[in-house]
Amino acid sequence: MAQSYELIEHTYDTIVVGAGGAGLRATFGMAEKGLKTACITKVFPTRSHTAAAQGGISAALGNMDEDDWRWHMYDTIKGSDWLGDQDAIEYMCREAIPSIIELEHYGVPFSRTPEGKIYQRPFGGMTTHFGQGTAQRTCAAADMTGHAILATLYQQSLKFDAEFFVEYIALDLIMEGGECRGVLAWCLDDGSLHLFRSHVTVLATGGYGRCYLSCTSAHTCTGDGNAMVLRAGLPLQDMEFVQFHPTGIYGSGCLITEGVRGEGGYLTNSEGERFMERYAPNAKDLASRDVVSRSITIEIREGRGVGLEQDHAYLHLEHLGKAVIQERLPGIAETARIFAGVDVTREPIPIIPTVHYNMGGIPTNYRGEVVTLEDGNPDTVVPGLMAIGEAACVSVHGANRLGSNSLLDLVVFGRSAAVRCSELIEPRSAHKPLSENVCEKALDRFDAIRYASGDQRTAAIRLDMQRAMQNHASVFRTGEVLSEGVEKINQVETAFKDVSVSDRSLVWNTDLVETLELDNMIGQASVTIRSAENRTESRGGHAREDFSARDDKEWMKHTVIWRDDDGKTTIDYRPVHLYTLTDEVDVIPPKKRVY
Amino acid sequence: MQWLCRRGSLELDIILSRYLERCYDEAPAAEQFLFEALLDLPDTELQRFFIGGQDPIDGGILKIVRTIRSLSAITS
Ligand SMILES: Cc1cc2nc3c(=O)[nH]c(=O)nc-3n(C[C@H](O)[C@H](O)[C@H](O)COP(=O)(O)OP(=O)(O)OC[C@H]3O[C@@H](n4cnc5c(N)ncnc54)[C@H](O)[C@@H]3O)c2cc1C
Repeated sequence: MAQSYELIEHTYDTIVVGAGGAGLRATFGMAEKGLKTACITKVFPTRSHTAAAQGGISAALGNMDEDDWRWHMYDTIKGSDWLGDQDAIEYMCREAIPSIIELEHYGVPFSRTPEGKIYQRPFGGMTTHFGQGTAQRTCAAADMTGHAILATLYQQSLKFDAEFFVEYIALDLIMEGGECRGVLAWCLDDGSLHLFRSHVTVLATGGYGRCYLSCTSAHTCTGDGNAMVLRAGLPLQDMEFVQFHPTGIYGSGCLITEGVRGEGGYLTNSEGERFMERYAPNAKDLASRDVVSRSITIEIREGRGVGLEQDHAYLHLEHLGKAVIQERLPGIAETARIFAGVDVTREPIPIIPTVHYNMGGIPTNYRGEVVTLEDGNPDTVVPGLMAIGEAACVSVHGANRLGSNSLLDLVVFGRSAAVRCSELIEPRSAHKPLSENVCEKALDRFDAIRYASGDQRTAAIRLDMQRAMQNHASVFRTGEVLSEGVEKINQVETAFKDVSVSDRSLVWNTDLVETLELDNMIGQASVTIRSAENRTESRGGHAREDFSARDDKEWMKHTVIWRDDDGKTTIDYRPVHLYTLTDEVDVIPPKKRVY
Repeated sequence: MQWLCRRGSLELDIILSRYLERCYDEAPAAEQFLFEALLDLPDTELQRFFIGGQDPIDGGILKIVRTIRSLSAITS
């Protein structure tokens, strides 16, 4: 080892890494159950990316019109293109109702109907009567749903004495004998290193949108937890499924929420045609995200794109009038003005499909426990390790997530992980001793990157990676384009061996943070593009031009992919759960997915 | 500073880092100080100032918000 580091040791029942919606819901739930809980987060809790979620959170409350969690389950399964695990989806859609009511009681200020019930709006892919009508199922707190949830859950966590370690970067999991025993973290503020020991470590580190050049997510979304899992010798699941949001602002990537189309906004091409009527005669502009994104891409490809380069489309809300825009969609006008230079009451917004969500992640069961494929058992639980939120792949979103189902996933599985921990852990029970050198590998990696002195700049390598992913693992894919992409990512991996970090200090060293994050992202980019190359069918967010049909016989299975220390990857599969948890609902058999 | 410009949303990331990259180093000390004070505010307030179009009550913060707004308006 290059240098010996002093480690400050802490002992907790449970450690949650991440303070977004998922992490805070779990932290609060565990603390409430009397578990000694700490939450480690690299940014202040209310600056987590969940803050950006404006659209809302789904639950079949039936406040506006009739609704049923079974319809919500059907929509989610259809949305997932039958890659979602039906037991987990049943759990989520059913538990949605009490979970939202809990949030309301904790103090989330949901928008209300005149009668005082939670107001619910339509959202893409959400229907009634198994695809017949349009459901109004999405609850919102004005356009600040995510932020309101974060603020409320943070307050609740503090009430129950959860401890927060803010501006701490989790570096690696501490694994011993196939079990997770805690996590190693670095404090940005004073440069100290910390070993957090715990009975269970919960990863709630969010998605990895930043692997792409154009994405709607904030700069913190580098998927650190996913990468920690890969380095722990465990697989990630369904990484080829990346969701493109149909309406990112052309240029900056800033999101124009689907709520806009829920309130009556529509898309046009260069001929002024409302082209979604052709692709989705029923759902039109409210079809599922992948469908809308592909439709826009086809319009552009076939020469009907708008703008100088004819490479984007228009989103109209001029017809809605100022009053509706102000009341129902505040912030949209300003966002469009600042990031697109457009007055939405007069002109359409230029938009393009933009990376928005990662369906893939750390495989778990519906209790939040991380699972792996071992000795032929696809549901082998990894002791001491859980994952929730966008970092996890439960899998409720399968090949494509429906809008407003992610905030739901955060709170339902954050809660479920807390319940599971309270079953597994006796509060304040003793910890087994750790062997002396368990942290050595993690410290060596940290030290090697800290003193990296090659010729390549972090920002330049990152840009190469983002370009490769944007151009080679996009809305439409072909074997040839993907294999070129794999080659480019290989080059990025090689370039990283020659990276240089200019600042050697341990205090507020953002150069080092960004290089550690880049290392994390390269691992995920590599497994994403390789999984995409490997899956020779089209399903949900993964559209192969050379294999344009869904192939249930061969491919109705989850990809799991491992990556070793030399960057070599191995692929295997886990079956999709085509069974439900209870007999209150039947399995939804695969059908063709049309909207 | 760079870390403090990391917020919960891409919009604020872009708006704040734009100022940090283009103006902060050359700005007079008083303006730098105002920018630091601005970064102490929660995302919801920044969101209101930059996306919600509201003006902050504090005169100093208003000044720095206006400076940053004028940078943002240029994009198209
Ligand atoms: C613009 C936008 C709008 C959206 N709108 C909606 C919507 O309306 N409805 C909906 O359902 N979904 C929406 N989504 C999706 C949803 O917001 C995200 O999937 C969700 O917020 C992810 O939450 P999370 O708790 O998993 O992670 P995040 O909120 O991303 O939080 C991750 C946490 O992990 C911490 N962390 C990460 N790495 C480390 C590390 N190495 N060490 C320590 N801490 C770490 C961070 O500090 C942070 O606290 C939207 C997404 C975007 C991009």
